[in-house]
Amino acid sequence: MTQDETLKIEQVSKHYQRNGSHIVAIDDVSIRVEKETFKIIRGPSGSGKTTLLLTAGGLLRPDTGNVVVKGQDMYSMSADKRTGFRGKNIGFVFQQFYLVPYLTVLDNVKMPGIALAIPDLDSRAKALLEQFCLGERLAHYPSELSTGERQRVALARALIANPALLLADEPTGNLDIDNEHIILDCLWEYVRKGGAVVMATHGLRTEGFDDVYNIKAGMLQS
Amino acid sequence: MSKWNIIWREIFYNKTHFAIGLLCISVALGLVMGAVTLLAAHEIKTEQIINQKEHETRADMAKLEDDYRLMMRDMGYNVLILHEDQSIDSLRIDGSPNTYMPLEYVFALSTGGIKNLNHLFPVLQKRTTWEEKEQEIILCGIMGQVPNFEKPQFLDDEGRYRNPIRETLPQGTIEAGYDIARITGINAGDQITFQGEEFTVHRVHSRRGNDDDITLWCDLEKVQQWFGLEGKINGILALECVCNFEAFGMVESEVQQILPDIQVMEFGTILRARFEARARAAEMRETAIDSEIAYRAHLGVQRQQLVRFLIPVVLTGAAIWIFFLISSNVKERRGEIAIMRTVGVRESTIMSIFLIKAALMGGLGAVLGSIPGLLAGASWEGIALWSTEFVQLIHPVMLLLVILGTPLLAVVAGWIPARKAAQLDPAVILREE
Repeated sequence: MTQDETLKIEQVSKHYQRNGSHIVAIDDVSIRVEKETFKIIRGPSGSGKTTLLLTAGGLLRPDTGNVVVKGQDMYSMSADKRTGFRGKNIGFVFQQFYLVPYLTVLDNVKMPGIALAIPDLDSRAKALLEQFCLGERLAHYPSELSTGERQRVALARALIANPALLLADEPTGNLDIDNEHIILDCLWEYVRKGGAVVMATHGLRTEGFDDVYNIKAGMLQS
Repeated sequence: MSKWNIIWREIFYNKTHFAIGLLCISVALGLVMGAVTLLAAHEIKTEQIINQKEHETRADMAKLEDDYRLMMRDMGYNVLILHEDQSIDSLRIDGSPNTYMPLEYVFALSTGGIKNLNHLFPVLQKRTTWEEKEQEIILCGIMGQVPNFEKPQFLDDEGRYRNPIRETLPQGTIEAGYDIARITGINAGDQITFQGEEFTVHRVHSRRGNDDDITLWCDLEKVQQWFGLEGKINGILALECVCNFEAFGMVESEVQQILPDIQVMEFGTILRARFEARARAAEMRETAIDSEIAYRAHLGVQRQQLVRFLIPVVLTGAAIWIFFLISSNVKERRGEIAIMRTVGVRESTIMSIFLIKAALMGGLGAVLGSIPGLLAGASWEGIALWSTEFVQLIHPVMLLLVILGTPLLAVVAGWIPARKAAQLDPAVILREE
């Protein structure tokens, strides 16, 4: 593993048994993601994109293979240690945002502070929201935001702990084209500042990204 | 940002959910506290009522006893002094004593310093036949009332009774009982012949319902002559004496100190009636108190049984309710839990968020429920707010137990759903959604 390597997925497979049938979610997948890179996993629904991201993020133990983030084998750690490690080093963005409805925009962004000691949490959260053009929305609740704004809040939350890796599962899936651009710009900004992004999408427009992997029936093709 | 922010914000966001839980705990604790307070209040009130009842009953019964005493005081009682050899059985059968003692005995008593006897009457009475009328009678020889010099307040300067209860029979007269007068057809003022001598009927007594109704009273000396018992009598009546029944033994010993060969018996039932009335009054008092104690004890047992049934049912019901509330809360917040786990929140923190909420529900519910429960329990038993009795109802240990025990119960009830929340697999939730 090189010093710049943020994520290394080696020969990872994940199979399920559902209703008596054997489902191959991901099959012998290997990916390397270095810092300041933006990689795309592209595939139709049910192709295994989400499973791959969850496995990469330490949320879903693979049947075989290794997932190494910043030189640490995620699944050799205890569950508790892995949770802590994930919080510190990996950010997640989902299509559904998963904002907490009873917390304001600012508090949603600060929410990882429950688990992590993040220096200057408040000012950092405000700065991020300012960066994502939500400086006027700090005291608003998710229900008062547009869809694009919600996703930007979710992105700010994912970046609050300044993670090395950001895993984005169709973050623009529910957005209009303008908001999609805003989100992608934010992600690129993060990459330029030294982060690494792996984004799953079923969209076809993939110009400008460092690598685009196609996934089909759990198998990855460059 | 801390988990406390999450807890508070969620409570305020989901007010209805929390309010339902709070209401459930409050009602449960209100019932428990009310029931426990009712029992404690019952104890206090019982003691109070019994004390009051005892006090009232004692006062009432003392008054009743006093009334009896006053009613009977002036009635006095009658004592018959007999020779010690006199058989009481034969006295009852014959209607008159068959042993004799000297007339001097009455004078010995008169001057002997007797305190408990009043009016002394020496008598000589025997069953006999009124030959002229062929009628069985009791003939009773009497003389005037012999003064008891120990009671100078009743006597005049010459040592005679100021108000004698029986006048001396005038010379040559006779008195007749009701039945003997009716049978022989004699009336007061009539001239009659008795044992061959002429007498004037001085008086006919009204019906008494005893041997007096067949008695003829005549001068003692005459009777002694007729029977050949000069200087003898067979009884001394001491009438309208006043003393306690309990002290009646003292009368006999007092008399026996002067006349060792006599015996004393009370005749008539006044003294016994007085004693029994007082005993009955005392018994009524005890019965009244006992029945109140029994009623309160019965009520207490019923209430204890209710509490024994109510507390477990109510607490179990509250625990089940909390279990379902927390379970539904976990279900509603699955996405939130998943994202928390994703951003690094540990299982223990997730679990504590739900348990703290349950504990807050329990603690706040305990406070909100206990106070009305305490007030309701006290007012049910009629204990005034902030009275001494009310303050006695507030047991610090009990309150502490409720304030600490209820959150604990809520935590226990919420444990399983909270643990399920902590163990939710974020990957499953995120994939599903």
